[in-house]
Amino acid sequence: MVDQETPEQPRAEAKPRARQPKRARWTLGRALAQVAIVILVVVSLFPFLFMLRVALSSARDYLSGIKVLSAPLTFENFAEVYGSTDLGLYLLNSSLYSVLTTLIVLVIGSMAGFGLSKARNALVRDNVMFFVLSTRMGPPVVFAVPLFLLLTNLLLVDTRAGMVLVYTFYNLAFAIWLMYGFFSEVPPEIEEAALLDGLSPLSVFRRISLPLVVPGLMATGILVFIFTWNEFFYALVLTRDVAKTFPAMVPQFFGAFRVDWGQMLAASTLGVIPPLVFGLLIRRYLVRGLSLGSVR
Amino acid sequence: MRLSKRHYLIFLGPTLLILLVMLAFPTGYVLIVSLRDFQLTNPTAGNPFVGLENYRTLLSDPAFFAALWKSVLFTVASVALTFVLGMAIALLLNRRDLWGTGLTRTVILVPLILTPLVIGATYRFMLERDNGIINEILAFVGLERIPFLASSAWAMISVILVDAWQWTPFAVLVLLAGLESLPVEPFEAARMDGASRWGEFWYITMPLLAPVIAVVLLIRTMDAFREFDKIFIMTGGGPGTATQTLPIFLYRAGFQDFNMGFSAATGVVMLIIVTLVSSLYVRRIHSAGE
Repeated sequence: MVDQETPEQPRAEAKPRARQPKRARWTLGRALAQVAIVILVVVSLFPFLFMLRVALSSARDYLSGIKVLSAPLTFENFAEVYGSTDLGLYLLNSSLYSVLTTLIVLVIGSMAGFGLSKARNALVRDNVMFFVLSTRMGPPVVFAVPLFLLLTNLLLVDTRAGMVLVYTFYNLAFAIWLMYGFFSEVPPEIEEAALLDGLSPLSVFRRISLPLVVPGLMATGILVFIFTWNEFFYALVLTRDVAKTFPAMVPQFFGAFRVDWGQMLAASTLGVIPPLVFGLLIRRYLVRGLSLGSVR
Repeated sequence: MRLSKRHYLIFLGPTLLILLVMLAFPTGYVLIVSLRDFQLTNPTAGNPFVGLENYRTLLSDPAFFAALWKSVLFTVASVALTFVLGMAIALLLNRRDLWGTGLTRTVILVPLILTPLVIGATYRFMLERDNGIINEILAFVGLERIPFLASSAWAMISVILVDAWQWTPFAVLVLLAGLESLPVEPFEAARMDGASRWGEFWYITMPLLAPVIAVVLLIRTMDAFREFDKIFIMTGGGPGTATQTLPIFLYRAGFQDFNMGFSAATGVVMLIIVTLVSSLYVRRIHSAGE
């Protein structure tokens, strides 16, 4: 079915928690496993919390070793980085690209995924899928030079339109891959029936199939959003100034002789909030996209 | 449901157009440039056709093989570490007698969502010899400071560990999804026969999970092989060339030495490697789906 289980939902065969036998018999193995869970949480969160802590400290404090952990809080790094760089513009660019790319990729990608899921000829389908997949596997560093020249010829270097185009290309393959899987799970009888009722293939797609894969659209959308927001290499090579994104600005804090860690991590804190908030808010879909995109 | 040619064109047209412009052109262009002597620093030379000269230079360049070796080392170590840790954590989170597994499943998403470049930059500060929090903690408890990013051997270990830190949760998610979809009957039968936990894992869990494991390994291999962001910001390939993997090697040739022909030839060789591995991947998926 389309709405299949996600890892957060309890397993069908699992017994309800209330009926769990012998509530808490502390064996050594269980205690160790519990300690491992705590370590796992700490290790997963530490860099993010550390980033936050340094961003909220003065330079004197974060350069004085372990004392940074108990230093007084200050917003001076945020004020400085906001006043002395174009961080606001870059965050705006990142938002613009992520939102636009997500919308465009969802439209084009779901159309292609639908079309491919209806292909009868396995040879054609597999070759198209392989072609599509190879764009996901291709290292960006290989395509950077020709894409730069292509954008130069189209007068699109360092423009927002150019970046949306590049990011659409960057995410499309992955989106098709996922949407193809979601459309394959729609029961064919439903579509056939709609077709017999006189709907055109386009209407079947729009009115019947698409509403059935909304969870899949959400899963694909959140991944595309995060991938676009986090993309660094193309932004580094294809933008200079106007069209720069948040990740592409991070290297500018690394001077030849000193690094302004406080400002860098303050900018980073602001920069990781949007994907973090979206991703965690709809984590059910994020998990589904990440695990299903690979298991099928 | 059968679609007519016209409808295929409608559904797939936009995709084909974008892929043609954005994929066919760059690939063709890389191939052409790789056959020319193309130096951005010498625009008057006119980029003469030199045949396979760039490939000959590349294949006789010890720096290329060094980079290839670093890439293989980085990829194998990172994938192995991600897989072993990912499997252990997935088994841990699959237990029902522990407190906090639900919360942990959410928490481990954080490394996957954080911008890789920011992860690299943050770790660069954390791993500094002086003032880096990890060395400060080591010093605090009376241990020796470690030159995480300053010594060649440690720099490689550091970038591998950070890559594994970021991607282990991915392996966990996929393996957990796999574990949760396993049938219960074989496990019940094994328990009746008095199998040990360890035997259960080796003889039931692992074989049943094999298709999922293969996919995790292949996706991770592909991603690790093209990893750029974190290495770029943590070490830039250094110290010296200690962490100069193929993508960094390619970036240096193209964007620091501006030797486009040579960097394009490197790109083609990389594409061949990646295509070989991804065709393996597609065949795997295909056979798993049947």
